[in-house]
Amino acid sequence: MKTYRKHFAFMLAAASLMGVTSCSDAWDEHYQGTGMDTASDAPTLLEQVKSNSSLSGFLKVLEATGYDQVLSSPQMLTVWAPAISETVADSLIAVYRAERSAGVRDDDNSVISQFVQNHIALFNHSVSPVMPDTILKMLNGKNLAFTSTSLDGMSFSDFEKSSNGVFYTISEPLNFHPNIREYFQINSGYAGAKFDSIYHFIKAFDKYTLDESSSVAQGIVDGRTVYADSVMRLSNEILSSYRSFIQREDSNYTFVAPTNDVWATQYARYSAYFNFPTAINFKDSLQNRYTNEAIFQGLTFNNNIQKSEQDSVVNTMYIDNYLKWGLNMFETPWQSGGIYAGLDSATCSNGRILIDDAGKIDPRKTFFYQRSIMANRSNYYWMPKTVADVPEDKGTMTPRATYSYITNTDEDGNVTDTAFVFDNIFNNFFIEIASTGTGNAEIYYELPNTFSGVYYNVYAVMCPAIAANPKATDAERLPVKFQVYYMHRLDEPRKKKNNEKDPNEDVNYPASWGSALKVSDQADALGYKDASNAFKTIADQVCIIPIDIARQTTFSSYNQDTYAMRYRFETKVKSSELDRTWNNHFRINRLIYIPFDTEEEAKNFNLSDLNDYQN
Amino acid sequence: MKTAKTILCLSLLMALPMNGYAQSEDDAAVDTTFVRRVRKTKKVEPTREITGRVVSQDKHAPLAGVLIQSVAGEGYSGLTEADGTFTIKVPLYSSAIDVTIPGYNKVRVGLNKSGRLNDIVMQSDAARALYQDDDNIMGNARTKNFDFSNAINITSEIENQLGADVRTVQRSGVSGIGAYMQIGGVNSLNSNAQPLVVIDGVITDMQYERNMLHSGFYNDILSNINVNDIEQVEVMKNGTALYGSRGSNGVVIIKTKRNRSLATRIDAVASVGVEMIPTQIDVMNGSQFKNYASGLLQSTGTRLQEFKFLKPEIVNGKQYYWYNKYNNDTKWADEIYHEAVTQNYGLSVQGGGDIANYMLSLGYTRANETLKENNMNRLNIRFNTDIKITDYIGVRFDAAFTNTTRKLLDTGAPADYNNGAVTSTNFLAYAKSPMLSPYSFVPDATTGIGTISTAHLDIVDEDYLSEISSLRNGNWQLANPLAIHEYGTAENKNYYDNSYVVLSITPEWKPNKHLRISSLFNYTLVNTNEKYYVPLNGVPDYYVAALENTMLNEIGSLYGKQNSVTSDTRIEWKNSYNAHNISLLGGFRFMNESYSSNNQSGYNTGNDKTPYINNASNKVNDGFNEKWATLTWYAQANYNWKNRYYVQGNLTMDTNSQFGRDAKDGIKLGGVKWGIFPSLQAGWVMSNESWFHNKTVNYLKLTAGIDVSGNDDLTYDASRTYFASHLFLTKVPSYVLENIGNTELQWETTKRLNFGLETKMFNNRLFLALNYYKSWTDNLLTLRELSFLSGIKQNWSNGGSLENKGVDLTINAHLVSSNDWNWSVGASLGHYVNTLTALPDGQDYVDNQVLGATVRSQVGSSINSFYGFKTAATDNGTIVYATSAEAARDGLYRKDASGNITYFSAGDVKYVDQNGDGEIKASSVASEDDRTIIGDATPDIYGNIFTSLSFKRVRLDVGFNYSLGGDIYNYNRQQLESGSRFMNQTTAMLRRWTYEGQVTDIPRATYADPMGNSDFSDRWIEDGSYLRLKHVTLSYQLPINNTYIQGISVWVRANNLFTLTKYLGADPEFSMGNSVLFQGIDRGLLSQGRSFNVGVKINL
Repeated sequence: MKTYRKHFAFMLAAASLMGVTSCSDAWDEHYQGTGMDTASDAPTLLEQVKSNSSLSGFLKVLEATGYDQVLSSPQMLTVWAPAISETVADSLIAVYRAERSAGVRDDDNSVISQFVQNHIALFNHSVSPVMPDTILKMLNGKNLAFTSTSLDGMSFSDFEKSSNGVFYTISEPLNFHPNIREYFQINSGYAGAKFDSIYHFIKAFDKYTLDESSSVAQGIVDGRTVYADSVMRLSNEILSSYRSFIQREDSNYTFVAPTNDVWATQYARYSAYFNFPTAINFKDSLQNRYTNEAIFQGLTFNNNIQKSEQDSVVNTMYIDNYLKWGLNMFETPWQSGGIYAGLDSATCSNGRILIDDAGKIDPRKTFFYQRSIMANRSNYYWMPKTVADVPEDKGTMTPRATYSYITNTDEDGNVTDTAFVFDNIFNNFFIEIASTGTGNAEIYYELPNTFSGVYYNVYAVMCPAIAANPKATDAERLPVKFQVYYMHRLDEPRKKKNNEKDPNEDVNYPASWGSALKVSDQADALGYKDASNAFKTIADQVCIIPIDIARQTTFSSYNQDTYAMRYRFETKVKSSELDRTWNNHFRINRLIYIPFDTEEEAKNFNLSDLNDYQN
Repeated sequence: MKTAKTILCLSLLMALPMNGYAQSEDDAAVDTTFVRRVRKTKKVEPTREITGRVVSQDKHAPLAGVLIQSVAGEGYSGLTEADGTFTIKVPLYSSAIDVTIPGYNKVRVGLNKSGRLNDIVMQSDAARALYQDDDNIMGNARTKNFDFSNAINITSEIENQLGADVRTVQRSGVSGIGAYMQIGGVNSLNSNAQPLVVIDGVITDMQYERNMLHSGFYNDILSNINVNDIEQVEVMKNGTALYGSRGSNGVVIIKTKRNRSLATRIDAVASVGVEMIPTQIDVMNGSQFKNYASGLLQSTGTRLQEFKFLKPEIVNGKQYYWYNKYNNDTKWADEIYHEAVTQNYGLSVQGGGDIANYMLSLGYTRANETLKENNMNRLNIRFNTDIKITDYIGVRFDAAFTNTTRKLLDTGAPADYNNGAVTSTNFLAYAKSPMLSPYSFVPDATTGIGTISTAHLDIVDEDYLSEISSLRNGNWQLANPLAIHEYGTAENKNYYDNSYVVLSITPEWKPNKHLRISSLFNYTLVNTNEKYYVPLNGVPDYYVAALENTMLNEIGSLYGKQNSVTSDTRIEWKNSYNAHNISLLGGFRFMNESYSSNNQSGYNTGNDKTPYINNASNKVNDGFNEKWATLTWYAQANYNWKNRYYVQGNLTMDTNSQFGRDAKDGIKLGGVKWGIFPSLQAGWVMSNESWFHNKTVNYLKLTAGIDVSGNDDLTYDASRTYFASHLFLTKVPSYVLENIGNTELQWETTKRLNFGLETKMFNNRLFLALNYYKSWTDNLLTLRELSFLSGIKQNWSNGGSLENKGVDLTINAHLVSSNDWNWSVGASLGHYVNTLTALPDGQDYVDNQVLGATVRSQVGSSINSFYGFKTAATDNGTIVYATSAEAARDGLYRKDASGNITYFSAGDVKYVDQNGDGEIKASSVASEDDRTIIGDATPDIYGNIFTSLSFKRVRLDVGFNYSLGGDIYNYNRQQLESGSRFMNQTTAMLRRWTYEGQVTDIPRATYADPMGNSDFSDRWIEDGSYLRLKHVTLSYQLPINNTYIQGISVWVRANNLFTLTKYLGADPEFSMGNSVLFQGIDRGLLSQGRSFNVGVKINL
C-alpha cells in the first residue's frame, strides 16, 4: 500500500508542477520589469542637477524661477545643464526679479525665455553616434542644431537617464539666439542702440486680452465676472496687420530695419502726409500712428515666399494684383541701388535683419502711391436728388445711373467693333449718369485715402457710348462736354451766411467744405478742353482726362470715412446742342489720383507714366 | 432514515436492469411501481452456489447484512451473516455479483469457476462511487454530486468533475455565463464545435450563434437550469451516431431530479457567498501616466510647447487653476469593482405514492458581479411528475419556468476605436487615465482654486489633449466608467431579461414488462430581451467611421424568441434469454424550431433621461425570422452475453430543412436528403470471465467502437438563393441578391474510432478509465469564392477535412479508508491533437482576422493557429533594439502604402525577416510575407486533480483543474502595452525604451505605432498553462435525529483560491465567443475572482 501512496504522492506533485513553475515570478518579472533597464526608477532631472555640485548656479536659477518644479514633474524633458557661477546666477536672478516686480509675466520674463528655457527641450533626446544631425526645438521655441555630440555647437557630456527625461551637462550656457523682434529689444534702450524707434513702435501694440472661452468664471462680484482661471492671449495688432510675424520662431524673414536716424528722418517727412482736420478725434495720435505704420509697413520680407531673391523681392504686404503696379515689390535688391544692397546684416533665429541706415524703402512702393476709385462705387459718389430719377427702393441719393458691362460680342455672338474698349478699361465696367430731359447731369466724387500737404494729379477715365452698346445711335455716340469743380474740406465748419444757399451743401455730409473751385480753368495740354474751358470727350474713344493737376491738399483723409477732396462733374450742354453736337451722358470708368511731394513734380508728370495706363 | 435507505436499496436491487442504451430514459426510483409485478414473473433457472465473505476496509471486520445480488437478473440475492459470510444461488450463466450496503460504495465482483470468492472489501461511500448500474460500454462519464455546489450554471460542475471528458472553459467571471465545452477534440472549422445538449430527453438549442448587444456576454441557455434541480450529467463521447447529424461534437445529457422518495420530503438549501475582486493587472499611476503621455506627445507631430495637463502647480506665481484636475492618482479598479455577494435559495418538495410522484422545486439566485452595476437575478420553478394511470399506462408531465434578469454592461477590450467610444467598464478600469478623477472639477467658491468636488461625477469629456487638433476623430477620449454606472444603469438602459419555459408531456404504455412505448412532446420557449445604452454624460462624443460622423451616445435593443417543439416517439423492448440479454429501441423524432429576432439601434437620444429609440438618429431596425425543422428515425440494438460481451448498434437517419436538396451524401427520400449515421460499439468485461482470477484487478473492461455522426450547424439560409430588401440610394425600396444558395450543402461528417479501458484494482481502491479516439471529419463547411460575375463574393460549401486523435484518462485512488477517515485522490487528463488534412479548391490555408490577429488554418497543422510576426533577439538578448547602431546595421524597414520606407531604429522591436529582403511585411503573397505560425491555442493536456478527505461527518473536497500547453493571444495586454494610444498602460510600460542604449524588452511608445511594434506577433502569444485550485469544500452533516428534521448539512466552499500560471493576463481561463476561431484569444472579459460561500441544506 505504501508503494501506491508514494506513487500517488508523486503523481500529485508532478501534476502540480507540470510546466508550471513559480507563477508570481513570471508576473513580477513582466510587470515589475526586474532585470531590465528602465528610466522610471532613475533620479529626476532636478535630482540630477542637485547631485552635480558644478551645477549649483543653474540650480539656484531654477529654484528662483520655479523651474525646479518643472524638472521634478513627470513631464518628459531633456535638459542641458550649464555650469554657471553663483555670481552669474545671482545676476540672472536679479534680472528675473526686477522684471517680475515690474509686472512682467513669467511667460515674458527674459531670464526664463532667454536662459532657462534655452537649456530645456520637450521630450526625450538621447543621442547615438549614428544619428543624423537635426534641429531641436527648445522650450523657448528656438531651433538649435543638434548633433550626437553638440547642441548649437556646444559639446555636451554623455547623457544620463532620468525618470522624466534625459540629462546632459555643458560647460557654459548656450547662446541665446534672438528672433528679429527680440533683436530689436536687445538693441534698444541704451546709448548707441539703433532700434529704439522700431522696438517701441512694435511693443506699444502688445496686448494681453482675456480669452473668455478658455477662461473659467468663478462667479460675478459687484456686477463683474471674476475668473478662477484667466487665460490671457498676447497679440500684436501691428505685426498681424502687416503679416510681419517676426516674433515667431517658425518663420524666416528678412527685415529691412530702419535705424533710429532713418526712422526720425522718415517720420519728419511722412508725418506731413497725415494732417487731419481738427474735427477728427485723436488727430495727433492718428498722425503718429499712420506715420509710423507708413515707415513700418513695407519692411518685412518673408524669405519663404521669394521666388528669386536676386531678381526681386516682395514684402509681406504684396499681393499678386500689385504686380501690375509694382507695389511692394523691389527689383534686384542686391544690386547697386537695391534695397538690400550695402546694408549690414544681423542673423536672428528666424531670419536676418538688414540694418537700414539710408532709408532704402521708397514710399511710392509702399503707401505713397497712385490710387484710383471705380466710378461706380457708391461709397465715392452721389448725385443731387433733383437730377435723378430715383427708384424708391434705392433711397434718396441714388442717381439715375446705369451700370454697364462692356462686351466684345453682340447679342448674336458676333465680335463687335468695341473691341478697342473691351479689356482696356478697368473691370470692363462703367457708370453712366444722365440727366432727365434736357437738363445737365451732375455727379459728385470724393477721393479716399488722400494725404495732406501734397500735390495731386486727378484723372478721369471716360468711356464712349459704344463701349456698352455697339449699336448706339449717332446721337448717343456724341461726346459729352462738362465742367469740374473742386472742393476741399475745411478744418472748421464754414459759417453759413443768413439765407445763403450753400451750393455744396450735402445732407449726408456733416463737415463743411471750401468754396467750389472750377478746376477746368487750368490749361490743358492734351486737347480735352474746348474754348470755353469745358472738358470734352472724344466720340468712340476712351479718354483719360486730366481734370485737375497739382492740386495741393490741406488735410489727409487717410483711413478715414470722411474725405478731404471732392469733385463735382457737371455737363455743360445747351439744349440747342443736345444730341446734335454733344450729349449729356457721363460714362466714367474710374478716377485716378497721384500724390506728389512738390508742385513741380506734379506738373511735370507725364500722362504716359501713369501706371496701368491701358486699364 | 435507515428504513428509507433500505427500501431504496431494495428497490434498486430489484429494478436493476441489464441496462440498455446510452440515453436510458428509465429511472430506478420511478420504476419501483413495477417491482412487484416483475417479481411474480421470475422464471426458475439452473443455479450454482456462490460463497464468500464481505469485510470492511478499515479493520477488515466482517460486515453483516450486506446485500449480494447477481447481475444476471432479479431474484438471485442474499444477505451476509454476522460473520460477513454469504452463500447465494445464482444462475449458471451469471458472471458477476453486485455487493451493496448503505454507507459503502457498491462493488461488483466477477465470479470465478469455483464459486468461492476472495474476501470482498467494501469501501466507504465517502469516496467516489466506482460502479454504476451498467457496464457503460461506451465509456460515458457521469456525475451526480452537486450537493455542496454554489454553481449557478451546471457547466461549472462539469468542469470540476468531468474536466478531461469535456474540455470546459469558463467564458468569464460573469455569474452563470457558462462555459465553452468541447468533447473529443475540435470537429469543425467554421461550424459549432460544442456538444449537443439534451435536457430530460429533449435536444435543446444552445443559441451558440446568436449575437448579443453587450460585448463579452452570451445568453447561455444552461443558466436557466438550477444546479440544485439536476440529478445527473452524463457525457457521451462515443456512439453519438444515435444523435445523427448533431452528434459529432459529443453529447451532454442532463437529467433533472424526479421524485425518489415514497415519503414526502422537503429539502431547503440556502447559501451565501462573497466573490473577491479578481486579479488586476498592475497599471501605471497618475504620475507615471503623465510621464508616458508627455512622452507620447513627441510622436503626435505636435508643435505645441505647452499643455494644460503638464503645467506645474505654480504658474506665474500663483496656483495653477487646472493643476488639481490633472494630478490625481485614481485607482479606477477600486472604483469599478467591489466584493460581490451571491445568494442562492432553494426549496424542493417531492413525494408521491403508487399513483403519482412529483418533484416541485423553487429557486432564487441573486448574484452580484464583482464589476459594479452588473448582477443576475434568477427565479426558477420546476415541476416534474410521474403519474401512473393504470398498471400499464403512465404519463410524465414536466413544467419549468425560469426568469433571469441582469444588469449588464459591456466588458472586454474594444475591437477597435474607430466606431465608438470605449464603454467596457472593466477595460476602462485599466485604460482610463489615473491622473483624472471620477469626480467633477470646479472652482472653489471662495478661493477660486480648481478642486475636485466629490459631490458630482465628472461628466465632461476628457480634454487633456484637446489642444492637439490632429487627434480629432481619433477617439482618444475615454469615458468615466462611474458615469456609465450612474447614467447607463436602468431597466430601460443596460438590461437583460430572459424567460425560459419548458412544458413536456410523455405518455407511456407498458403492455408488458419487456415493452415500453412512449411519446415525448415538448415545448420550449426562450424569450430574450436586451437593452443597450451608451450614456451621454461622462462618455465623450465619439467619431463613428462607418457613419463618418461624430455621435453623442447610442441606444440599442434586441428581442429574440425561440420556439422549439419536439416530438419523440419510441418503442423499447428488452428481454433476457438466460445468458443472452437483448434490448431494442426505435423511434422517430420531429423538431420544429423557430427563432425570430428584432434589433433596433440608433444614436443621439438627446439626453440620458430619455433613452428611447424614438428620439434617436441614424436609426437601424433589423431582424430575422428563421424556421427550420428536423426529422430523425433512430434505432438501437443492444446485446450482451453473460454480461461479458457487449455489442451495441445504432442507426440514425436524419434530415434538416437547412440541408441542400441536392446534398452529395445520404439518400433521397420524400424529396429531401437524409443522412445515414451508423455506429457499432463492443465491450468485453474481462473480469467477468470465469478464468479471470486476479487478486489485484477487481474489474477490467475493454471497449471499442466506430461511429459516424454529423454536424448540421449550417448557416440558416446557406442552401437558399434569396434577395434581401434594401433602400437604393437610401430612398427607393429595392431587392438585392444576397446569396446564391448551395443546393448541395450538407452536414459535416465525422467518423470516430474509439478504444476504452476501465479497471478497478486493489480492492477497488484504484480506478482507472481510459478512452482513446481518432476521428475524421470531412465535408467541412467552408466559404467558397464565387465568380465575380455572380455579384456575390462567396457562399458556403462542403469541402476540406480534419482529424482529431486524443485520449482522456481518469484515475482515482482511495488512499485511506476507515470508519472515520477516508482519503482519496484522483486526476483526469485529456489530450487531443487536431490536424487539418484538406481544404477545398486546393487551398493550403484559410486566414481569419480576429482582434488584430491572423488566425490561420493550414493544411497539415492544427486548425486556428496564430499567424504573425516572430520577434528576434537583438545583440543584448531582448527583442528591442537598444542602440541605433544595431538597428542601422540590421537595416530592417517598413514600407507604407505610398512606398515610403522607414527603417527600424533604436527602441523598435526586432522582427524576424523571414524572406531576408529587409522589409518587414505582412502580405498575402507568400514570398513577401514575414509572418509565420507563432502559436496554437490547443492545450497539450487538460483536466482535474481532486481529492476528498473525510472524518466521520466532516468532509473536505479539494479540486484543481489545469490546462497545459495551450497558447493565448493576450489581446487585452496588447492593448495595454502597445504604447500607441493615450490610454493607461501596464506597469511593464515603465521600462519602455526611452533612451539610447537602454536594454529592455518593451519598445518605445509611439503614437499610432507607425513601425508596427505592437503588431500581432509572438510578443502577445503567451503560454496559457495553468493549474488552478478550483474549489475547496468543507461540509458537515449535523448529527440530528429528529422527527421533523431528517438532516442538516452545512458547508463552506471556496472557489478559485489560487492559480499557478505564467500567463500575464488576469485569468488564463476565458472564452470570448462560441466560435472555434475565438478560442485562446483573451479579450479581457471579467475574470473569475476568489469566492467564499457558506451554505446549509435541511432535509425535512
